[in-house]
Amino acid sequence: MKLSKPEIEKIALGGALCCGLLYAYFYLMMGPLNVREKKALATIAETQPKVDEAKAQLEKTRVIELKSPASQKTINEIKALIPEGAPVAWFPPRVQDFFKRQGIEKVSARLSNEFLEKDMPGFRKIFWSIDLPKVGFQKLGRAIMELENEEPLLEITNLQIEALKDNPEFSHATITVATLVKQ
Amino acid sequence: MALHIDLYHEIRAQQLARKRDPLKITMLALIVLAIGLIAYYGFRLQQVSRLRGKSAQLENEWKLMTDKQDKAKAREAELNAQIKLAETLVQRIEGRFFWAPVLGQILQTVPNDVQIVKFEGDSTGDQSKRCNIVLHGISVGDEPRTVAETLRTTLAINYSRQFPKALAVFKALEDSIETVQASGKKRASANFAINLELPRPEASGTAQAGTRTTAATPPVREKRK
Repeated sequence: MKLSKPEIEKIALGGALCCGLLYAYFYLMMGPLNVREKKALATIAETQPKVDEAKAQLEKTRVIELKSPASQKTINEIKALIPEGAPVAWFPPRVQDFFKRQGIEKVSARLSNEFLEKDMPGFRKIFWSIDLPKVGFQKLGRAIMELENEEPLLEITNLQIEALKDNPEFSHATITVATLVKQ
Repeated sequence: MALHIDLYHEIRAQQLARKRDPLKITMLALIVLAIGLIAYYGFRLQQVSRLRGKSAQLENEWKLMTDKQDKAKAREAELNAQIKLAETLVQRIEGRFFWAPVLGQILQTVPNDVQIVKFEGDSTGDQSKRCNIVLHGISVGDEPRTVAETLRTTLAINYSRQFPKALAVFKALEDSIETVQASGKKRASANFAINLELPRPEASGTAQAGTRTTAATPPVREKRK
């Protein structure tokens, strides 16, 4: 079939229209749509991990919150063991009373050093020197045992016992203890 | 044979030409194509709208959660500090070095022919791994050095039950020129100083601390004058 000149012109016009349509479709309609899609995907890819992380954080905090009452109780119990007021006002009489109950008289306690505890905020450590000028070894041993059992916040760091020259049955003891007190 | 004269051939030719008009066919094809493309566009538009909706929802969720997350982080840090403090306090209480069992052991170990004149003990309160004790004393007997050596080895053996890596070494051991009256006889004596190193046991805990404290009751024994 041979096409006439007007027919060829019409076919060319139809082709041009088709090209125009396709160009308009892909450039003006699909183009922006693809851009919007890419943008949305990028936003999702960026935001989703953040949201997941936030959810994980909330869950982690919730789990820790379940554990915290036990630790708060422990801290409160320990704080309840520490009397109110300046330690220098309550510690020496307390020690003297304790040793008096153990049958040891003439006990003196004085503050020797003081530190802030970095890993124990709200607490500080105080070192005391307790002097027992005349005490029997067995009595001292029992008193130390009772002291260690009764005072969980107290730790003996240094102990010096020296037999008295004029009466070797008795000794002179110096105990250095560290106690925890409220800051 | 009848003669047919087609007087409409021109009209039919025009009708045929109109039927196969390329422009018309192209337009029809274009319309079909356009419908297809529009349908596809609609489908894609729906997909993209769904994605944009999800994206907007996530953004909103994130905006709401940012504040909550910050608060949760701060709360977590606070709670962790509290838990750590409680653990440190408990560890400190349970990890104390108990002196009463140490004194009890000395009382059990030191024989009658030895007099301890000085005891120096140090367990630096910074949770260091060991406790150092220096015992100064006088041993009495026909061979006072042997008595002191027996005491040293017995101390090492007895303490190693509680402190597996206990170490007892002489710091000094000298014969004394003085003699000592013991059991009605004059006996030779030696001055000694024993250094005891008691590494803290690795495992700590209430049970162990309790055991040590329970064992702390010093035994009643006649002490040599």
